[in-house]
Amino acid sequence: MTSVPVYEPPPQESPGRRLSTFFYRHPRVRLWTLLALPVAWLVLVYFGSLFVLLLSSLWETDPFTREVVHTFTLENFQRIFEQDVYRNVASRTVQMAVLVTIADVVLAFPIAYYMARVASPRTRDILVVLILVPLWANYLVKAYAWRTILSEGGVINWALDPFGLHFDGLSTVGLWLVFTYLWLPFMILPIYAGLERIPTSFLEASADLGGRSFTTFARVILPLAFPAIVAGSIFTFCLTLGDYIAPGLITSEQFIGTVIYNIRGEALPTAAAFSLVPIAVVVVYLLVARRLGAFESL
Amino acid sequence: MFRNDIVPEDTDSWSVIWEDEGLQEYAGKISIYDDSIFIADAAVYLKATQPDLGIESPYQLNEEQFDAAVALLKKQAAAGLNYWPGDVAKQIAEYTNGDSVVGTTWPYQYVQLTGADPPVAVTAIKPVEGTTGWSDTWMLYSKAANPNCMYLWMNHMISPEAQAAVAEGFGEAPVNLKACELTENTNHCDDYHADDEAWWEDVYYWTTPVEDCGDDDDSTTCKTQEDWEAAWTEIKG
Amino acid sequence: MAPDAGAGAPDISVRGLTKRFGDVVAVDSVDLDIPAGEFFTMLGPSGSGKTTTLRMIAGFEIPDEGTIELAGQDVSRLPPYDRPVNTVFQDYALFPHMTVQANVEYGLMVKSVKKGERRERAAHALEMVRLSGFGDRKPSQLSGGQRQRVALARAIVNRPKVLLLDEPLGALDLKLRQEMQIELKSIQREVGITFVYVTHDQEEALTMSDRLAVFNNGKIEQIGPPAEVYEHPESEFIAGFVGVSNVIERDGRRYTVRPEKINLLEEGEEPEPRAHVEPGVVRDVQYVGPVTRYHVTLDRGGELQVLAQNLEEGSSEVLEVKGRRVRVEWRPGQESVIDEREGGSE
Repeated sequence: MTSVPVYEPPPQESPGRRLSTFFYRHPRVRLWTLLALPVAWLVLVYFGSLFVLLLSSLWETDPFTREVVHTFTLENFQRIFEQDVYRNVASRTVQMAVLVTIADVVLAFPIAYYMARVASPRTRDILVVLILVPLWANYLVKAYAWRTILSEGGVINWALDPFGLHFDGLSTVGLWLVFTYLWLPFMILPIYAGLERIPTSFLEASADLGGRSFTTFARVILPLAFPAIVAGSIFTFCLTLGDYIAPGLITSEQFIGTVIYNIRGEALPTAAAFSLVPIAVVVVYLLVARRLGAFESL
Repeated sequence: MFRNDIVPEDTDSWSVIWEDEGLQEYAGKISIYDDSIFIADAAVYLKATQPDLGIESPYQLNEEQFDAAVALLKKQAAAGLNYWPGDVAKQIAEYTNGDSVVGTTWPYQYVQLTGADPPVAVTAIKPVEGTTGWSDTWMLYSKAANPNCMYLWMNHMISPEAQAAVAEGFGEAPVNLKACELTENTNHCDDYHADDEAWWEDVYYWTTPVEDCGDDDDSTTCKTQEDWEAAWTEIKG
Repeated sequence: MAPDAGAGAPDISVRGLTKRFGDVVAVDSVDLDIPAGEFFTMLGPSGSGKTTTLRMIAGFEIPDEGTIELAGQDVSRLPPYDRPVNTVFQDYALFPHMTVQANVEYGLMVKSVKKGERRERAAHALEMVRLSGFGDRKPSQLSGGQRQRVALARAIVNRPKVLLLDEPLGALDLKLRQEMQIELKSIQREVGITFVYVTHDQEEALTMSDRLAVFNNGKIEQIGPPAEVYEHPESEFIAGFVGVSNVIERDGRRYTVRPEKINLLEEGEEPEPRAHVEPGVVRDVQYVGPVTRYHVTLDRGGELQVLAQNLEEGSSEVLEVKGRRVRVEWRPGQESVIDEREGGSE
């Protein structure tokens, strides 16, 4: 059996090939061709709007027409720092964000743990779908649905009524429940991914070295899942911090989002100045999260 | 407006949402329009109940008058309120569920609630102290591309037919009295006091709060719209 | 913890140990006795049941049937943390968020050993694996061999009755593996702990063990000292797995002869008296540096591998042998009779 080696002839020249060759020889050009659109988007739309926001916070409004007058002033910031109400609203919002985050961690961890370490692959797939399904439903629909659930004639009070109990659902507590529900998937998924990455042998090693379940959980699972928890908390914290629809629907209490929403029409510069508060809070939060290694878990 | 199955049917005063008794009774179920304009509603009540403050127009308040109104509003807010930020659906749902039982409203919500199936037991009144109010207006572009079209629209909107439909649909008095003969409810114009000028005397229409109090005294200054808005944010806490 | 068993009593005693995963019988009624202080190896291909057996001894799997006694105490159903054994994992399983020091101290810490003693014992363990001064590093800052040694230190610092090692050298390259084999063996002698060592590498098993058990299909095919298992495999499977199979059938019986025991007789060369001699043809020759491997097809049927040291020959000379007629000879007693049944243990 003899075989004559046959060589593939070199491919025909074509514009497409020439372009490929050009990009192959100029990797930087290739990179920038690829990145041009997203970078432009980021710089112009994203940073651009942030810059306009910052700029807006330095303008005045006409006292009668309430139109924005392009005169430089620091009054908006002065108002935000001097009037108690802005401080109270900001601290209330941050507290809410923290409490929602804690509630979501407490709820998400067992679910994520079950998915990552206990459930069969089939059950796991079903759970992932079930957790993602609510994300496809419109946010407003869910918030309104919760209003109905929490209200005076809603299902919670209907169930409590026979026991002579009453739950004031349209309240800060109610809002906490709604936020906890709304952002729960954003906490489950990162923790699930984080837990799944922990090799089983780590847990076996801990048990092997004498660690009981609780020790293994506290010393091995939790520290290793912690960056994932922080990653999830970025979502729950930031989403709570910026939301204005759910607070407006569920409670009469003011939150950062509702204040901005309410005053944006007449006092745009003040609204702009106030909106820099959550941005600053989030930036600090992200810096801390980065130190805690959360970005490796996203 | 109030739920007449919960709030006494003979209620005729704003005191139910300003004084301690009512605030305690209906805490958390008072429905308030979410805007700084509501400061004027407090001023209307103060004008009637504290004449020594000397409030003339609820929209032109000097420092003392303004502070009194804000104090009243803060006391009210502490009792627990439901705000409806122009979201009529929210207020309608609240009155239907019983989450709100008394407060300020627009005729539209009243029409919707009483016309619902089954109707919600609500009563709408003009309290004895008077009230704030507004008239619906059309604003037309003076440089409209098709001016004739614009004039046709204007004619249409002030025609008795259109006026009757709008008045009944939203629940307001028509501008064109000829509409009164065309309303489905033959008593509509009487119900809404369309031809009763005296009835409208204590209905206070919006004027933008400005520094000039509108009197001849240059030394007095009034709180501006900006102050009102800042105060409103603060009142809500 | 069980009282110390008397000298000579087995440290580990396994009876009828069985484990099924679904329809697969991973471990099939295994019996095993390992005396204290022995370096015992469980050798076998993947899926042969050796790792599952180890994991049952460690407590990571609960046996379906059978018992495991450690120093006289039945531990078959105890959780891992209640067993006086420690494990060195194939992937080392070092906790990445802890320093080397914290890793080594982990077992002592969970048993609430005082800090001073912890420090001292961890330092000693690290010294034993020649990693003094590495305590402050994170596992990610260590090489594979260093990690392996930390895993070892983390286990022996607890002074377990038995140390279980699950293919601990599998991830290392050949040179490092050979170094570590020697080191492991010397550490074992130093601490005197019973080592149960799982590997699929027959050379590793032969090098290090006091005794070894060869696993196949969930059963132990042969158990004994390395030389015995190597020189006298009891089954064709063992002959093939521990070395080169080299099986021929003569007079209705099957034999195996280790390739290095066979001589190629040169033309005219007299065989040793009473030696077994057979003619054949050299089918292939592989020059492997220090030795040459000849594949000889025998006239009476069958093929044997012959390994000869290249004492004087160069590659060109040995390669010339290909295709020649030769005679093979081996001394009586060098061949082992193996069981007729295919792959069965006796």
